[in-house]
Order: sequence, then C-alpha cells, then structure tokens
Amino acid sequence: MNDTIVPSSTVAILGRGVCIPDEEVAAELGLADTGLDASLLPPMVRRRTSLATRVAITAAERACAAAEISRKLPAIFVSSAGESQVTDSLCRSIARHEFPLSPTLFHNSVHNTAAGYWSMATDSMASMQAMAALEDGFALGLLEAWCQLKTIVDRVLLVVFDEAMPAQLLPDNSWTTCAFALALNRNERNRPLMGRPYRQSAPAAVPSVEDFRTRNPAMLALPLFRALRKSDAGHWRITLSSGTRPWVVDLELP
Amino acid sequence: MNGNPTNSEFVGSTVPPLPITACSTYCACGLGTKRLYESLLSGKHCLHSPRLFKTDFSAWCGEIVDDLLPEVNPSLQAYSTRNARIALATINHPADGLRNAVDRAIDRYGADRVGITLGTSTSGIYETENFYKYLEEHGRAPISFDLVSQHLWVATARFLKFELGLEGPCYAISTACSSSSKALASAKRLITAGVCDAVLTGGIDSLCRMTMYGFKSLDIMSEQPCKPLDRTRNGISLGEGAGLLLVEKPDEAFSDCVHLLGCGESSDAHHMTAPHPEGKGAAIAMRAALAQAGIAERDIDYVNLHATGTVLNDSSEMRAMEQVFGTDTYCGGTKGLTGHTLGAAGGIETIVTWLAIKYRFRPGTCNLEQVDPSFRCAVVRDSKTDIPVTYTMNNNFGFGGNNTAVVLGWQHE
Repeated sequence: MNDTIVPSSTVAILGRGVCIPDEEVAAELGLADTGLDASLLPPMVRRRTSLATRVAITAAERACAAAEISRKLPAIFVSSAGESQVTDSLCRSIARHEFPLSPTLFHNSVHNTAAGYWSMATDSMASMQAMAALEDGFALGLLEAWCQLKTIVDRVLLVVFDEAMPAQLLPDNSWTTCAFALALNRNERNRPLMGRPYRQSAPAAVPSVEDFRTRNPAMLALPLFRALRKSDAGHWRITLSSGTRPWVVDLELP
Repeated sequence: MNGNPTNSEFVGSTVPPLPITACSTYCACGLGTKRLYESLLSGKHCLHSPRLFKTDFSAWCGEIVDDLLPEVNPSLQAYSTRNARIALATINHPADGLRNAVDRAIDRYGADRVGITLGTSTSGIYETENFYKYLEEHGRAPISFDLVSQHLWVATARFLKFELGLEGPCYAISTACSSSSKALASAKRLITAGVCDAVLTGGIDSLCRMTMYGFKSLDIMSEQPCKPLDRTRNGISLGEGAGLLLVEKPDEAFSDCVHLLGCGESSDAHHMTAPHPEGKGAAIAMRAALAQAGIAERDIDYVNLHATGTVLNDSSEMRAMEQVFGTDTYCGGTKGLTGHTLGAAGGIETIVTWLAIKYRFRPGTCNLEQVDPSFRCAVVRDSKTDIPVTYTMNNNFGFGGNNTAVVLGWQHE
C-alpha cells in the first residue's frame, strides 16, 4: 500500500471474471473456478467456435454475473492474435489448394468473432470493440474502456484473451488459453476505483513478455486481478505491461 | 435498464468536433486524395482480374500495382508486408502532406501525446499465406516470416509508430469491414478524454487469398465488376488500400479544416455474416453518430453508404436509411470504383466524404445502371459538382453485425 498514490478521474470496477481451462495452470496461478462454461452460446455455435471465443465469452459472462448487471452493455475484446487456430486451419487449406474454404471457418476468422457471438448470445445491440496491441493489449484495453466511460457510455465490459498459438506460427510456444474480464462503470460507492492508465518512466518490475514463447500477453492482466482479489484497502499502483516505460494504473480499494 | 446505445445512454452531444488536419489514401484509383477525387468525378471503375495471385474462379478486384509499392526502411525490414508498404506510400505522398502534418503534431504536442489507432482486417495475412505455402512446399520455414511484426493485428500500426516516431497509445482495431471507422471513433475518444492531442487513424487492408476465397465460399463474389445498389447487383468485388487521417484537438488555427463531428457504433445481435433484414443495428449507429455530431438528419447533404453490392447488404442498409432519413437524403456507394477494401473501407470512404465537403460535390455510384426499384432513398448515380456540402455521413458494417457511422462537416458554432 502506498498513500502517495491517489488515483484521479477514476472509474469503478464492478465485477471480474476469469477463464483458464487448464486446471493445472490455474492452480499454479492460485486461481480457482476458472473452468470453461460457454453455455451462453447455443450448442451449434459452441461446437463451431474456437476455444479463444469460448474462453472470452465464459470470462465475460462471469464478470457480468459478479457485477450483478445486465449483459447488454458496450464491450471491448482485446487479443493479440485472436482466432489464431482458425487462421492456421485456413492458411493450411490455402497452402494445399483445398478449395472451397469452409465458410464457417472464414467468418469465424475475424478478430471480432468473440465480440459478434457475445452480442448475439446476449441480444446486445451495444457497441462491440475488438482490438489488439500485443504486450500493451491489457493496458490499452483498460485505456479504451476508461476513455469510453469518460466520453460516451456509463458502463462497459472489457475482455482480454489469448489462445494457445499454433506451432506453425510460433514454434515451441507455451501460451496458455485464458481470458480475463472486468465490468466497469463511471462511479459506484464501495467498489474498487481505477484511474486512467498511463506510462511510467521507470522500468517494470514484472516479468518481461519479450519472450513471447513462454508467456502470452493476456497474462499481463494477472497483477491487477491479484490486487482486486486480495482486496487490501488502500491505494495501489499496478503494472500493466513490460519494458522500460511500462503502462501502469492506480487503484483505490475500499 | 439495458446497455443498448440509445441516445439516453450517450452523453455524446457534448463531444466537441475535432479537426482533420491532413489525410491521404491509396487504392486502385491511385495514390493520393487527388486521384480518388478524379476517379469519383469520372465514375470509371478501377477493377480488373486479380494479378497478385491467381484464382480458380473469375473475379474483379481493385488492386494496387505491386511494382509501385515502396520498400520499407532497412531498419524496419521485419515489418515489410504489403500492408506496411501501402501504409508507407500513403503517409509519404507529398501532395497530401500527411507525414509533415504528423511531424508538426509531434513538434507541437510531443511524441507521447500523438497516438495511433489503426483499423485492419487482414494485417500481413498475405505474407502469412506465403509462409504456409513455403512450409508446404519445402518442409521448413523461410527466415523472412516474422509473427510479431507481420502477422499479428497490431503489426502495421507498430510499423507506422516506429516509422513516424509516435510514442502515444498504439493499437489496432479489427472488427472486419467496420474496422477503420471504429478506429476513428477510438481516436476521437482518446483526444476528447484528454489522453492524446493528435491521433493518426483510419485503416489499411491488402488483398489476400483468404478474403478472396473466403468471400467466394460465402457465395457473394460477383463475377463482374460489382454494382452496388443496382437492380441486378450480385455480389462484391474486393479491393485494397489505405485511408489515413490525422485528427487533432480543437484549435482556432484549424477552423478551416473539415471536422470529425460524430461517430456512432452498434451491433446487430442477429447473425455473423447476414445483416439485420430491417437494418435495425445500422439505424442505431446512424442515429448515434448524428446525436454525437449534434445535428439533425435533414442537415446531412450526402451519405456514403456501405453498399457492398450483395443483395442482402444493400437492402438492409436501405431499410435503415429510410428509417433514419426518410427518402429525401442523397446517398451513394463507391465500392464499384475501388472494390470493397474491407478493414480500410471506413478510412477510404470517410475520405470520400471529406472530399465531398472540401470540393463541393456529391460522389456518384460507380457501375450503377438502374437503382433497385425497392430503394426509396435519393440514390446518386452520377457525381454532381458545384453544390454546397456541409455535413456528410459514412456508413460501414462488418461481420459479427458490427455497425458504424461517421459524420464529418464544417465546424458548427
């Protein structure tokens, strides 16, 4: 705790959700109840969508449930590679001249696949964002959420996710399929408050993700999620990315 | 209370207009806004059969001639993709002065205050396809492929960040065919919320086999040059290119610039590829853009429609237009000219509306012979010059039912 850190121009964190289907990994990270549960999706869609989409939807649903709010809210989905397994299948087909391509795989290859199925499953006509920023993804997703709350919406859902990378694209990688979601609003009493994410001039103390093989970018959500789970009242500065000028955010926990 | 973007949920009417201080574009019409303007006036399409790679079906596309693309700086060689080379040509086009404007913004505000939000739906997938082809043929990876700087969604945005020395937030937005309009909306928020003083935005997409064969698999590729809004329209023609804009915080010095007034975003919550038949989501996005711009439907002088040329897309959009505007508002589509540039469409077509305001004309609808008789809006067939254009709207809709509308105009008091 550091009382010199007082977040300004805050937004409130209403609820959070995590999905890490690999139980061993979840246990190593000290997280429980992170299993896959995409029952929100119709069975046909569940069968045809990637694990990336299903973990994102699982975490999104959990965050809304924890926040006790309607799922019909603007949402921001962040992922480095998005539907990389679908892309891998399509690229193999193209390389082998196996045409026609699968129309389902094609439309499920877009980066906003999870966002699209989420809006359909929740019957939400709100804005759905899909963005990417590699190791800055979680930080810039939080910044996009903060900007939306400061300008055009009063509630927003942020989901950051990555899928295990196909070996062709990233040999010997050990990416873990995971999704982290936060439901946020402009202001709420007795909830964690978060200031605007910003860049710090001192290098980050968190492990670097420059070695993409061992750690996927969505895992950079962990420090913030750990701080929220501990729920130690006071002010905290959380590192959101790696490098010499990492993104950080200040929290005020009730 | 639900979260749908009805006007009551927005506090958007207070969002100030932002000046577009420079923009440039590259597409099948050629490099620079002047070439796009001349093509819009001539109404002659720039489509031909694919040259970059062969297809086993007949198709037309709006392709940039490969030989004309510049090589990237050797220090950024890892980023060299078709996307990045199109980006480089676009920012360096002297007549549009986009690079100079970015440099001036860095001098004026500091590199930390200049961000980039870039729309793309392909990123460097053409190079990824070549990589898989090489693997298939040789059983080993070529050394030229780089996942992070070529394939990943943020690759081209990062390339521009390094090429231009920007230090502000840098991210890619990829919501299929609405990507670069969403990027404009994010840029507007970054400035309005005080995070940035200037943002380079818009989008870039390049031709690839995945989109060419993908749209073919959905059976919506036309075998002729596409004919958006026409009675006989039968599908899309793909295109490629860039539409990049520099948006800055309000300043009296920029009062002569066309301004970004409003961005509306919504979802259909209907189907992954088919639009809502009544255009319900599209209408929400259009109304949200008008509300944020603080103007009425009747103020809009021209709407650049998404108008892809498929039977369903154009019908759905026209239903939405009728709901929002009635039947008197002038509208048209320009994908018959450029092809559908997917993730770049929002950038290029927003520049079409920028040109309409700046050069006082209503762009026509290329390849249109006879308007679908069920469309009741005032579809513009031939470009009309020497008319005042104060406010415009540009629509883009993507897979996942992802809808956007962008309103530009002269700054209002």
